[in-house]
Amino acid sequence: MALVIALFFRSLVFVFSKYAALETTNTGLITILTSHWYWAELLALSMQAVFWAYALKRLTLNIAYPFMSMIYSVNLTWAWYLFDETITPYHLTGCLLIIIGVLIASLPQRTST
Amino acid sequence: MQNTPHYIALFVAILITIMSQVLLKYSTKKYSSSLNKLAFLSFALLGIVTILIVYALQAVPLKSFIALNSLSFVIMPFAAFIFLGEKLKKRSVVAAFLISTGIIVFLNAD
Repeated sequence: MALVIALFFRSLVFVFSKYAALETTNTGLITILTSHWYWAELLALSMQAVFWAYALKRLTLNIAYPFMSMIYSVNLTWAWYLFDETITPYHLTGCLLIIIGVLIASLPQRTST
Repeated sequence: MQNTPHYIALFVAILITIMSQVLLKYSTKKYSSSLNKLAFLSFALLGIVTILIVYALQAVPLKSFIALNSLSFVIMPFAAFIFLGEKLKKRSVVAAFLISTGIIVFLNAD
């Protein structure tokens, strides 16, 4: 459950980052630091970090980390819905391959009895 | 060419993210409390990553950023093997290959 919550906050990090990027294009570093979208990104990242650290106590990194890539299908939807980026079947195919790779990495280990 | 610094920032962010995750996992083994100095260092590194991400996204489309960010899942099992001594499973290698292929297909769609 902690991993799922971490995944949700992780997806928000990318959305808030893009809003901050759009707001601060062609401006300096200081402008990034003063953007409210940047601080929203930090808040989401903080929440993700808390739940991520809790999840890592119970899972090995090579299982927990690949699971997080499931959010990329969600963020692909955000890219299309919020930022009007064109998504083609090739993008979906690439995303599917990434998710399949994640699932293979996340499958539980069989133990012999 | 003018977007090259933004893509470089993206790759640096990926490498720092991996370092941060390895450090965080190591801290859970070394300390009983989740709030320890190594964990704080890990979070500090992620703070740097947040700025790099915003800078990268000024030129990189979000969809491309998402695909390229998946490189961290390709590299992470090997980093865990090298720095944490975690077993490198065959399925991790297969997964890394599939994820890499997915990234290539994704980026060639543009």
